This record gives sequence, structure tokens and C-alpha cells, in this order.
Amino acid sequence: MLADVSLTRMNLMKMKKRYAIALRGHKLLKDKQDELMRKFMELLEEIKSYRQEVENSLEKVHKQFFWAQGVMSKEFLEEAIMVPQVSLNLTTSQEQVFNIQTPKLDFHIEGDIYSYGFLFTSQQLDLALDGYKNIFPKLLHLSEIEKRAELLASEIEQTRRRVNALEYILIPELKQTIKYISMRLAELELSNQIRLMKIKDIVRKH
Amino acid sequence: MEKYFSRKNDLFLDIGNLHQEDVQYGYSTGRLAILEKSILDKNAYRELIIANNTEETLRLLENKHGFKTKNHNTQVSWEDILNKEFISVHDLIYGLAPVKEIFDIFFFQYSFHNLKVRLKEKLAGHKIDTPLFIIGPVLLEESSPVLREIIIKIEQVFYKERRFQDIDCILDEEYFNFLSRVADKYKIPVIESLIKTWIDLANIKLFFRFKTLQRDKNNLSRFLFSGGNFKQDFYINTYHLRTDVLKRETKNIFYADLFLTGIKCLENETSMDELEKSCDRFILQRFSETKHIVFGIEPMIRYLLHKENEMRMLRMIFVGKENSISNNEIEEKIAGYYV
Repeated sequence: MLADVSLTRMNLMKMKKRYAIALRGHKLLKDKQDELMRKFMELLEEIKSYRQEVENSLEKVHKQFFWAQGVMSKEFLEEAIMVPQVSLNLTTSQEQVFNIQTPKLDFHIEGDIYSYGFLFTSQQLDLALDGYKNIFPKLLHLSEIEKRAELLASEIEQTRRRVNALEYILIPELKQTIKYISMRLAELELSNQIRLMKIKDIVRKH
Repeated sequence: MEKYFSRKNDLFLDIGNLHQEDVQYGYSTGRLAILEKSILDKNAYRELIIANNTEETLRLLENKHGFKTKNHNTQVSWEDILNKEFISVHDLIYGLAPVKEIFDIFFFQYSFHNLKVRLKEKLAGHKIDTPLFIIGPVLLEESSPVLREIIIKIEQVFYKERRFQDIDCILDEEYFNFLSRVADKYKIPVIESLIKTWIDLANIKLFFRFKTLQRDKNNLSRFLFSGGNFKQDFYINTYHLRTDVLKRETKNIFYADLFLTGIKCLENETSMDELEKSCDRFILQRFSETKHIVFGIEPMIRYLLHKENEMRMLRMIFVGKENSISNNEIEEKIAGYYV
């Protein structure tokens, strides 16, 4: 579709300028998209292996907790963990990756996780709680990188849309408009020239 | 008459005459001898394990082993079934026992659990939804000066550092004191010996558990229980020994096998699961040796201990089934509890 512009040399220059900017922008965005894609694929690989690791550890820890439930009755188990003496301080900040603000989670655990009596509790509970304590930083890191991947994916999607808009709409449109204006201007110039020649010819005959 | 058919060095060894009190248990022994036959054996557990799911396990329990798994044709949860079964065992024991107070020693743990929950709620300042047991001797602060003193002590200690673990620490120690008071009152050797063994086993488990947690010996001394066959100093003095030295030092003591199991767990860096199983098995095996005693408290204790063990194994099977743990793993897990 042609841009709705008047056919002047000024507009032609403007269009050419816009075309050059669009080409440069397209190249930059394409490069950005490629780099984002590369980063995303790397992150995806990291998430895949990390998630696997976390899931395996979590399964192991859950199993230890199930066995603690098996060895101890529900009443004893719930009594043991009814008043935890551990406090968790979670601080959130932002980190910039490209122009994306990704969340960064830092935490600090204070207190003793084994804050129960040892007579009616099983060591399975110690192991399970220890496992949960160890897995917690991993879970936070996993959530961090998964959120980063999510944000990267939406940035890629946005960039891809921009690249496509430039590649398939704006650039061809500008190209066509430039071509049209140039042709129309050339046509006008030719008709002017012919008109002048004709006038010259009439003047010569008289 | 030789009362127990036990090995040399047996803590349960007691040679004496048949006492009048022992004759009182004649009826309960006969009754429990029949009921003992219905306690699940290895094959029954295996059958329950290979069932496809929890529902099938429940069906097997109901059809083959007489457990009541339904209430007005509605399926009851396995936890409720086990609770009801244990309550019925509790009622049976108290119904048969000529001197009921002696059997409080098996149920004080539930009363102390309830006391802990109530105290923790009180000191935390808000209600915490934690289940209570409906069995166990009633502990009333109003009627027991000892209990009142304990509660005052707990409050004093708690307000110093606001550590809820102190409540557990004091009440666990007091739990054994309560048991010892019953033993002192009735002077039944088997009960006295059993309580001492419980204390020893609790200390041994603590000893290895603290080693795994890499706690220092001051911390250990805070939790060790007094009143066992071995003084607390024994555990404190051997706490920092290397495993090979510890093995050498404990090879001639009565609990050498348990220490060896604990040391193996430490050396292999595995959980203390095997030690916990061995400790539970230790008591059960001791009482299995009293099978031929007709007149005495032992058959009742044996039945109760076996029932407790049965409940534990069933709970493990149900937990395993409910969480889709493989049959082999469940079998492996409960294997150490068979006696």
C-alpha cells in the first residue's frame, strides 16, 4: 500500500531518509532478535538441566518427608513443626539483561530448623527439613531463571513483531512509495520538458 | 521358677518366684494369646504392599484381617482406621489390666504430646491447628503439683530465650520421670528394666543423630536423658571419638550391636533409619523371648508393643501407597521392623 503523501521532491527525500532508517532499524532489531534468541536458547538449556536437578532433589526430599510421616504419626509430626523457629528474609531487586528488567531474589535464613524435641521425632524429619532447606535456594534460582526466560520470550516476541513489521510492511511500503514518487516526478519532468520543447517549437515557427 | 528364658547379660533377666500379682494376668494372657494370632505377619504385609492402590490395601485389611474400614458404608481414611484400631487396643489393654496405672507408661507419650501442643499454643499466644490424641492418661495441672511445677519451670525457661525447643526438652525429660515414678511405685522389674532400656535407646539415637547434625557435645548434654543404664557422661565422653575408636570402646557394652549399626550409618553417610529400626526391633525381640510366660505382665506388654509396631508398618505402607512409592521401596523400608 502506498503512503499517503504528496508527490514532491521534499517528500521523496524524506521517504528515502525514512527508508534508510528503517533498513538500519531492521538490521539492528534482527541482530537483537538473533542475540535474544541465542540467549534464550542458552537459558532454556540451563533451565532444562536445572529443573531436572531440582525436581530430582525435590522428589528425594519429599520422599524423606513421606517416610517421616510413615515413621511418626501425624500428631507427632505436626506438633514437631507447629512453631518453626526459622525466619526467612527475602529481598528482591532487579537486574538488567539487554533492556529487560529481570527479578533477582536474595534470601537469608535465620534460626534453627531443628526446633523440635528429639524424643518422639525421627531422623527422617531432620533429613527432610535439611533437604528442604538446601533445596530452597535452588528453587528460588529456578524461579528467577524461569521468570527471566519468560521475560526474554516476551521480548523476543515483541522484537519479532517489530522486525516483521519493518520487513514486510514498512520497508516495502517505503520502497514502493519512493519508487512511485520517483516515477511520478520523472514523468512530470518529462512532460515539462516536452511541454517546453513544444513551446520552443511553436515560438520558432512564428 | 525361672521367669525369663534369656541370654547371659540380659537386662530382662529375672529369676524369682511366681508372685500373686503375676497370677492376676492369667485371664489377659489367655485372651491376648488369641488376639496375638491376628497380628499381621510378614506375608500379610507383603500382600498389602503388592496391592495396586490404597483402596485395595484397605479392602484387603477389611476382608482378610478384620479391620473396620467403613463407617455406615462410607470409606474412612486410613489414618482414622489406624487411630480407631489403636484406640481399641488401648481400651482392650485398660480393660484387661488388673492394675491400670502400670499401663499408663505406654500412653503417657500421647498425654505429653497434648501437653506440649497446649503449652506451645499458650506461649505462642495464638491457636495453632495441631491434632491432639484422645488417648493417654489425663494430665491436669490443677490436680498435680508436680505438673504445676513443671509448667512453671517451662515458662521460666521459655521467657529467657523464647525457644520452643526448651518446652520439648523439659517435657521429654519429665516424660521419663513420669514413667520412672510409675515404675518406682509398683516395683515391677520388667517395667523398670523396660523404662531404662527406653531411656538408653533414646540416648543412643540422640547420640548418633547429633553426630549426623554435627552438633557439639554441650548441645548433646542438654538433650540427653538421665535414668538409663548408662550415665549421660558415657555419651558425652565418647561423643568426639573417631568411629574406629568408638567401635573399639563400645564393642563390649550391652548395646554394642546398636552402636555398631549407628557407626556403620555414620561411616556410610546414610540416614540413621537402620539404627532407628534396630532400636525398635531391640525391644520387640526382648519381649519375643518372653513368649512362654503365662503368668505375668509380659504378654500384655508384648501384645501392645507388637500392635504399636503393626500400626507403624501399616502407616508406612499407606504413606507409600498414597504417594505412589514403588512396592520394592516400601518393602525395603518396612523390612527392618519385622520381628
